[in-house]
Formats: sequence, structure tokens, C-alpha cells
Amino acid sequence: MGCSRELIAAVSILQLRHVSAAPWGPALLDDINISLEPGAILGLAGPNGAGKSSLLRLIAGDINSNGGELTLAGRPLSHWTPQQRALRLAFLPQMSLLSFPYTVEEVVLLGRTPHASGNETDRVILEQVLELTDTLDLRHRLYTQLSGGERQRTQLARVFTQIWGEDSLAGKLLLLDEPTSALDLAHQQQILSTVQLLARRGCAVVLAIHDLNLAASIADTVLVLDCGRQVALGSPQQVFTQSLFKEVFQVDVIVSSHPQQGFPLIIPQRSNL
Amino acid sequence: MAVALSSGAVSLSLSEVGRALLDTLFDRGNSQGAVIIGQIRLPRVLLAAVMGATLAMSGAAMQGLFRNPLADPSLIGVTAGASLGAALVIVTGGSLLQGYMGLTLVSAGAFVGGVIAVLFVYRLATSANGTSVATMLLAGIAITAFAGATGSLLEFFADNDMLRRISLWKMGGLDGANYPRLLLASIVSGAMLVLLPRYAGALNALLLGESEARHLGINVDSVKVALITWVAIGVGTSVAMVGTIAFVGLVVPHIVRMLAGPDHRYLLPASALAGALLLVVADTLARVLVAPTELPVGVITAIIGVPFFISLLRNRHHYGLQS
Repeated sequence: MGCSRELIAAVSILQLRHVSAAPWGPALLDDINISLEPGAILGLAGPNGAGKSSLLRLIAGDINSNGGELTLAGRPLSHWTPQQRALRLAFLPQMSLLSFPYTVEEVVLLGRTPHASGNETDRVILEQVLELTDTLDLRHRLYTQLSGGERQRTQLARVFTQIWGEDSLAGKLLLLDEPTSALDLAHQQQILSTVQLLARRGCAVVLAIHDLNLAASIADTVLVLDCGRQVALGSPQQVFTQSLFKEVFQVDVIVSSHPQQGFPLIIPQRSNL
Repeated sequence: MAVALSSGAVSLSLSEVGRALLDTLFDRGNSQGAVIIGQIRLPRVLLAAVMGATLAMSGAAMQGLFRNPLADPSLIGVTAGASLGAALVIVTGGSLLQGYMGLTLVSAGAFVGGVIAVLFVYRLATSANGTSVATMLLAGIAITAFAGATGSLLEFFADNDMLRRISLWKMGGLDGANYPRLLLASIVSGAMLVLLPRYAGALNALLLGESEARHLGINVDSVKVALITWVAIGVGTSVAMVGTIAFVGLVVPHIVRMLAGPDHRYLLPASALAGALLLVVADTLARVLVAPTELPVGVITAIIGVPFFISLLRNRHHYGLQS
């Protein structure tokens, strides 16, 4: 076991080489190249329809690539059974369709479906994750009666529960599509802190996020997409430049830096109509 | 159960029922009570219980699979296909229809019709990208409409006697109950009772959405095939044995979900139990309300089911269901 874990740490958890995807005819993604080490946080940025969600769904196996090479822990994604993949990879989609009156606790425990860790372990994990997502007070409420932000925290708790473990999380991959879109300021910070905690314990994270200041504050690498193509890849400082925003987002911005933590701060300049 | 056994056109006291049951069990005596209980009422009440359980479990599985608390086994075309199959046999079978043999031919026609309809709906909804549940729902509606129209066409050409048999058959009834039927129904129902709970975890995950279930390690496509197959067999058998019985598959899982929540680990067995209970009660009412004749049990379940269902719809917010 120890031996195999070292092996996992040596191999990058996620690797895409010249990956393209066109599930419905026109290319959604074209020539994507990324490599993710355990513990790395990759932020996906780009305008609406740039392919951020498509890339996440491609990595999660929802849509198939039709070119290039996509490997999870060194093994082609298509070689994984759903069960094996579910032990390594958790995915939070942008929207949830759940319309049955599960309690919050039941939804979160569904995250343990692929595991056979036993009821006791699952309950321990449940307590920890409910605390980290501030859903302890909601645990007996019905999911269908929650607000948008509360639902998002519940779904986040579910995917955290899926990859949670007592020991190192190296070799696991967390995919988050707009995890903070419905959250208030305090909960945004709390969720991002939890993501950082998971990353410190070895979990690799890919997140699509529209709030670029949040992206800059959490990601150590940013991938900018435009019309399915990879436009820029690098640290937030390298990538977030005035010319990039003009080119990709067609917005004039001032790029400053955070007075304490130093990551780039993006301040848009509104043009009057 | 005991009340169901004791009531009927000939009323028997509970102690008489007990004695008659013992007589039947040990194969002795031919008292009037023993004949009524052993040959007529016992298989009938048991068949009602078994078929009620099958229908309710099928309904629970379909509602989970379609992620729609208002789904019904008839949505995938089983019921309509089975009705058409039965009508076809009644109209074309002619003189073959006499007696016991005729009844089983109609049943076989219903079963085959139901299974063909499901296969057709399933093929329509399956493409290289997997099976679309939404397309299946729409295809089920199309097949139901087609089978209904063809059935009406058959009725148009049928004579009076056939017409009456078709319409009686459509209303559903347990009067054809006997031990061979009961055995067959019990095998199907028993298999479902053992096998469907194995998919409880998968159904729970499926309520989150299909891709979410896949990310939780569920092999969604094989679960779909297995569940649809079992529902087709279960509902096909029940329509073949007792005709179309409305609302058991729809209302029972719904009530159980309100009481016990949507967790399929409890929902499936509890629905089976409640479905059995409902159909036994409905059939008992069907036998005693206008004794010595009988009402079609499908009419009773619909009469109980519809007002209940309407009150459910009106109070759906109360139960945490979305509008």
C-alpha cells in the first residue's frame, strides 16, 4: 500500500495531451494540454461558453474526447470502471436536479456510495464535512426546502464526503464547477479554505470559477479558455494581465495586487453606454 | 388477511375460516367452508397481495429511475401494450377462448404485448450515447397512444360479447385466481422482492441525477436495463393475471415516501407491503360491496386512488415536493 502511494505521488494525477472533444459536431475543446500534480489547484477561467464546464465534464468522463490522451493517475480514463473512478474522483456539477425530499444528511451520505467503509467511518466523515461546510444546522432539513446557497453547500459537502479520507488524499481529484456561485461572502471564504485544506492533504483540484479575484486567491495555476482553445496557462500573476482581459473578455481592467497576500486583484473599468 | 378471507358473498366467521384453512392445509374434508376458502378465497387473496406488492415495487423503481415522483409503470408502455395484446387475442382468438385455456391465452397475449411495448420504447430511447430517460417517457406516451388507438380499432370490429370481455378485462379483476396463477405470480414477485432492493443504493444515487450517479460509481446503463426488465416482467405478469389495475404503482410508493422518506432501502420493501395491503383491501371491497356480484377491482383502486392523489397534489409543498 505504501509503495503504491509513492508511485501515485510520482505520477501526475491528471494529464491531458492534445485533447479535443466534439460530442455534438462542432469542437467544444481543442488541443488542451495540462498536467496536474497531487495537491495542485488549477483554476479554469474564460468567458461564457469558453469550454470550462465541458473540460470538467470531459475529465469526469461525462463526454468523450475524440483526440489526444487523457490519463488519470497514469492510466487512460476509459480504462477505469465507474466504481474505481468514483473512489478517486468527485465532481460537483454546476446545477443539481435533485427534487426528492431527502434530508441534507442523506444527500451528504450519498457521497459515500462508492465506498465500503462501514457506517461508523461514514458517520465520522459526515460530522467533519458538515462542520466544514457549515451545514450542521441544516442536517435534518429537507433538501427541497433549502435556499440556493444552502443547496450548494449541501452538494459541496456531498462531493467532499466522497473523497474524504483519514490519511493522505494524494491520488484523488476534485472537480468543482462554480462551487461558490450561490454563496455569500463568508461561505465563499469558508468553502475555499476547505478546498485549500484538501489540497494541502494531497488532493488535486480543478475548479471553474467566474469570480477571477477568487480564482487568483486560491489557484496556483490558471488555465484561460476561449472558444474551446487554451489561451494561457500559468500562475495567476503571469496570466492575469491587462492585455489578456482586453483580448479574451473584451473588458478594460486595472490589475493591482492584494495588499497582504500579493495575488493579483482585478478591478474592471466600466465603459458608459 | 383474515377479514378478507371471511368476507364475501357467503360470510364466514373467523373461526370457520381458521378451521377451513386447517382443512385445506391437511387436505381433508370437503366442507362448504373449506371449498370456499381453499379453492376460491385463499388463492384470490394471496394473488391480490402478491400482485399488489409487484405493482407497488415496480412503481417505486420507475419513480426512482425517472426521477419523477409522479411516474407510473404504465409510463413505459407496459400496460397499454398488454391491453392491446389481450384485446388482440380476445378478438382474433374466437372459439379458442372457451374455458380455462382461453383465459391463459389472453394472459399470454397480455404478457407478450407488454414486453414488446417496453422493448420498442427502450429501443426508441437508446442511442450510442446511452438511454435517455426523457425520450423513454415520450416514447412511452407515443406507444400508449398507438396501442390505445389500435385497441379502439379492434373494439370497433369486435362483437358485443368480445367487447364486454375486453372492457371487463381492462377494468381488472382477481376472479381468475387459482393456484397455478398464484404460483407463477409468486415466483415473479418473490424474485423482485429479493433482487430489486439490491438496486436501492443505485436508485438513491440516481435521484441526484444520472451523471451524478455515474460519478458515484454506479454503472447507470446496466442498472437501467435491469430495472426496466424487471418492471416489464412484473407489470406484464400482473396485467396478464389480473388485468390493468390503476394507481397502485403510482400512489403506494408515493404514500410510503411521505411517511418514510425517499430512501429506496426502505421504500422498496415498504411499498411491497403497502401495495399488498391496498390490493387485498380493494379486492375485498370489490367482492362485498355489491355481493353476490363483484365490482372490477381496478375501478375500486382508482376510486380510492384518485381523491387521494388529488389531495397529495394539493399538499405537495407540505411533503417537501417541488411544484
